[in-house]
Amino acid sequence: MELALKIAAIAVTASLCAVAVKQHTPEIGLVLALVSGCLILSLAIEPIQSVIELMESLCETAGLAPAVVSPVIKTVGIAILTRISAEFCRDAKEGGIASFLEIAGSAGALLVCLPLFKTVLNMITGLL
Amino acid sequence: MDVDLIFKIAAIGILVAVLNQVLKGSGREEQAMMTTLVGLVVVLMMVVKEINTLFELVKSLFGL
Repeated sequence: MELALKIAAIAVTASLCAVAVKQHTPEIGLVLALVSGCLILSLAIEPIQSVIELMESLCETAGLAPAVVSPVIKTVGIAILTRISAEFCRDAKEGGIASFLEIAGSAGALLVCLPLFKTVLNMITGLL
Repeated sequence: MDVDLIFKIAAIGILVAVLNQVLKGSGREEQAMMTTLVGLVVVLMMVVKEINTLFELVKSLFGL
């Protein structure tokens, strides 16, 4: 609750500052938006960490190998990084760069999931 | 990382905007552009560390 309040306050303050700055110096307004994003995300990282820990303990109870879960977590990380950067590019009115970045992010996510696909394939060929 | 950073950047932004207007009003277009550029560089220098912190945090958290 306290964290949510803090994040909301930071977001509103940063938006107000950004509106005031963007009128005459759009570049600095852009940097301001980026910094507020970094600030909010570093506050939100702690809850994410607890969720990841819970997920790992659940998988341990279910008897799943860590190799099965780690691609999922890594994909979430790649998605977060790609999304932040792409939205920043869009804010800077560079939609083209944002699209390239998203495609590269998808490629990275696929690469992370590749070992999982290989395991499934091995399982299927073993069954046949 | 602190909220102070947001206010600092906003202050620099407003200062640069004012300087820009004054310089443009007195017909010094090149110097106005230089001021904007310097302001941007100063702000970027302040920000780069924070961005690095965030990326490192995400990197260690998600095991990338």
